[in-house]
Amino acid sequence: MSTLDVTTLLARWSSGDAGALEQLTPIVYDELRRIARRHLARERKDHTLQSTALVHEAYLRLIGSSGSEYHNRQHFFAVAAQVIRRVLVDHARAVNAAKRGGGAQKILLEDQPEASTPPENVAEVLALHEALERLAAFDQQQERIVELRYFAGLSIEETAEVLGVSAATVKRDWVMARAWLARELKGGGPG
Amino acid sequence: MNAERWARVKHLFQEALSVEPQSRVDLLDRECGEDVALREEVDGLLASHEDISVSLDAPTHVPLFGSVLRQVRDEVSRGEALIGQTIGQYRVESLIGEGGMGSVYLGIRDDAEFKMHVAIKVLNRSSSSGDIVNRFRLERRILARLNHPFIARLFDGGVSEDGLLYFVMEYIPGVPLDEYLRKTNPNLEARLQLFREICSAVSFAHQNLVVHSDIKASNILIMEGGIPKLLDFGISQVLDLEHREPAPDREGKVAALTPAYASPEQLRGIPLSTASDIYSMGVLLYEMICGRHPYEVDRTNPFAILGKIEGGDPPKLAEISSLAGVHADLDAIVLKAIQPEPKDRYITANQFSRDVERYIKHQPVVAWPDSHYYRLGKFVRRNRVSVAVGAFAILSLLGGIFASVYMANRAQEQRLLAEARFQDVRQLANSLIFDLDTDLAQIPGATGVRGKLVERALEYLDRLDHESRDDLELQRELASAYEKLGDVQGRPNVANIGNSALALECYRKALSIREEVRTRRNDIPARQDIASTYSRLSALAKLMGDYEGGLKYDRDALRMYQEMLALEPANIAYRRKVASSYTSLGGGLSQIGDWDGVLETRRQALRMFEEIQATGSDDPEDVRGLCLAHRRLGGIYLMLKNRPQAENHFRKALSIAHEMIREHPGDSRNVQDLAASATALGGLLYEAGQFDEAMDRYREAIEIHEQIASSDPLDARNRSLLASNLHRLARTMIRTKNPKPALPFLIRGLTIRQALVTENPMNAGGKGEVGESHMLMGDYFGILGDKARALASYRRAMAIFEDLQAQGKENAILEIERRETSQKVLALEGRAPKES
Repeated sequence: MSTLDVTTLLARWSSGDAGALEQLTPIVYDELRRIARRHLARERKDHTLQSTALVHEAYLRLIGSSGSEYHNRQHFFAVAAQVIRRVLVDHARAVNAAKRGGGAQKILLEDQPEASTPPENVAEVLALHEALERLAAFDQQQERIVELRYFAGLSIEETAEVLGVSAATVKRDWVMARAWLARELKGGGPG
Repeated sequence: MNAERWARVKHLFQEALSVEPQSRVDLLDRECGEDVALREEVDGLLASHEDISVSLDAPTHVPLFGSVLRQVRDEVSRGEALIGQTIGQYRVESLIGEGGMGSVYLGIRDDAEFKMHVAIKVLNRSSSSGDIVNRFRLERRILARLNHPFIARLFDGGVSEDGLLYFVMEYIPGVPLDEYLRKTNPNLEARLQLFREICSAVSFAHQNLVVHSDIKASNILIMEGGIPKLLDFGISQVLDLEHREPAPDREGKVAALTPAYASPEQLRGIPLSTASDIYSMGVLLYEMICGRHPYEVDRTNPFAILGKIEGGDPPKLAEISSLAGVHADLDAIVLKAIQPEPKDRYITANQFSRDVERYIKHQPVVAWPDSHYYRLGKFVRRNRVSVAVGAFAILSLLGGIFASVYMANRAQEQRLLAEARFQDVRQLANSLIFDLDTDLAQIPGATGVRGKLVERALEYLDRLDHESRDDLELQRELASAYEKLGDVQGRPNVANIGNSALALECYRKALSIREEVRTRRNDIPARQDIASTYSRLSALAKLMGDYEGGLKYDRDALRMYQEMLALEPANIAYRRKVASSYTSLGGGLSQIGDWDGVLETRRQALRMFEEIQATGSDDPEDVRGLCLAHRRLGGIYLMLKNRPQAENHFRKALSIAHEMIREHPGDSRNVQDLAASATALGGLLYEAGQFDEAMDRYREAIEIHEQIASSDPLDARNRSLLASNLHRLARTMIRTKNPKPALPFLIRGLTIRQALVTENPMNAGGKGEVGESHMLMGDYFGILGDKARALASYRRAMAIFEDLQAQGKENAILEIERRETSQKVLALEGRAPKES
């Protein structure tokens, strides 16, 4: 896998080629896993690995530090956020299906040891995902902000960079999106 | 909510947050007016916002990424947990590496007897079942043979208590090949020599029918002193079948193959073949010369490489390599190895290696298109049959070639067939490790092993036959293969496993193929082949009680050989054939009681062998033939009551046998000749009433047959001879003043004969001999005055003789014995014999 291929794919994706995202997903996913794995192996006691760190490192590994193309970085983060979101949603759906399926996979959930990352609520992931899809219907920018902040762990500034807007705008939208989502997830509000 | 409405909500929400809380109500009252819904929406969002306590700038922990992390962490912690644990017989010491498939740990075997370090590869995936363990057991025998200086041994494998799939391998302290090359930067020749060493390892594995299927630089470690070691040999084999995920799927889960090295057919999901390994070796060689892969690999779409491979040749090594001495021949070699079509590649790793050697030695390489490839292909085709022809030791060596040729020929169109074939050949080669040729026939003890192999070989030959109708050479060799298998199954008078029915089937197949061949090419070899099958069919027919059939085949064979001898009168080999045909025909005539005919053929046979002897031949076969001719001629003279002539020939035979043993002590056939001659002379002495000397001769023969039987208990022919001599010894004892000691010999002879009949119910002669033994038993009890037992024995004999008569399998001697027994039964029953 060469840098060239990833940047080409990123360029294709940013110019509206959905197939490019299909191809990027496994690459980014593999890389994220690999990095996570290495981090965890190294820092055995402390599992507070942030996805930000993962995404940054994946970026460096897949595209390189030369960073010749400014836009690649933005695109890459956007892809990473989408990939992580997709992975989580797929995972949550799988777990849900397994739970419905019966006892065997239930062990999988109960088996999961307590971690420094909060225990994940499968239903919450799906609810969030669905809420984000609703949000996207009238505010795509907020959806992307949430995606970048929440799934890729980007800061306000990084998010602003990726989206090409001011940090103040990101902050305002982030605040509102969070409030809207929180209400949505509680089941309240007219939506 | 629509976008317009949302924009309004958004504006009010953000406005409200920008003012002091006490001013918000005023702001919203003013802005919303009568729009209650708008007001509720904004109020709700503001309330929700107040509930979120986290500071806006707090780092986002992204808890939801936890599921991925957890999955990874589970793997890591399982790995960590392994340290200090025991897997199989090994304690896990530390992590020494991580790869795509899993992690490698240093393990130690710490028994009382010895300490040994091993590498334990633990795969990421868990095993769903015990299949893998079973497969490992199946493969273990093969892997145990994979003992090569350049191959890291695979010791063990299975599923740990935690359900992790693991392999235990020889621990190799070394650096990966690519790293080694970068660090030491050897010159071209050193690289090529190293590559040839790797080839020798791959070739060795292929000969043992183990395909690697993931050959790549990182799977080759270089130890101190530049010694290469190939890792992971056999793992793919164990992971084969349902555990394989050959082609990467859309999710990009690339399974146990490395796209950069994987052959096109591997990428397409066609399973293991030696040809795939050849491809990977080609990629490896390219990489060893210039430090990069021939084709750029797109990891997102491994199939894309197929287009590149088919789209044209990779950049020329001669142009991109910085090493001195790289020229176009090397490109030709690499290109030949990485041809998209398996059949266009080198057929074996050895062939590949030899071409690299030629390059090193500045000799012309065969890699160029339109080179000797055609002839080479021809050679291999011939060899795969010569394998079946009987050199099964060669087969195990050629197994890899065999398999690769098959894979190559079939991979595209008939993949499934090829797989089946590959398995067939593989099974065959696994079993057929013993040589069936004449050398092995001389080694006592091999008969059983040889026999077991045959049924599978037959199945395999049938398929080969089906595919090779148009190829005359192939057909000829195939016929030879059938004949050879027939020999092992039940060729009379040589060591065999006594399955006449199968032998007959084999010979008939050989004959039908050869007759077909002769219609297309009526030359001496065609005649010779047919005659050879006739001879065998004759001996077999006689053994099975079809004496007329046997005689017909004898005459057919004799005619063929006489034709050949007429064409080439100076040819000793043809004279031998004519001689042995006479011998065989004589045997047939004796079974129908044509004693004059027998005498004539015996004389002719002896004359032939004497003529051969006169030419100065000292070939042991000729000497043995002469010995046999004397014995046979002596036999008929004895039959015709010409005792002096009989004794003369028997003694000649005996002295020839003694001489042969002195000259060739290791050849068991000479010992057998001695035994046969002693038996014959014993018979004569018995007839002459010289019982003591007769018994000595029989004991001499018995001793020899006992020895052979103890080293090769399954040799049916030897046991039959042993039983006959025991019978004769007993018969002689009965005639002496002290008949009592005959009983144990009688019983032993009978037991052996009964066993032989049980093993091979088609053996009519054997049944007759059982009858003969019962008859002698009757004589024994009769002489001792035990009438009841004598009668019982005679009745048993009668039952057998009458049964054979009813089946039309009675010969002259059996007829005499039947009549004799019948009279004895009548006498003992107190009735007058019919004919007295």
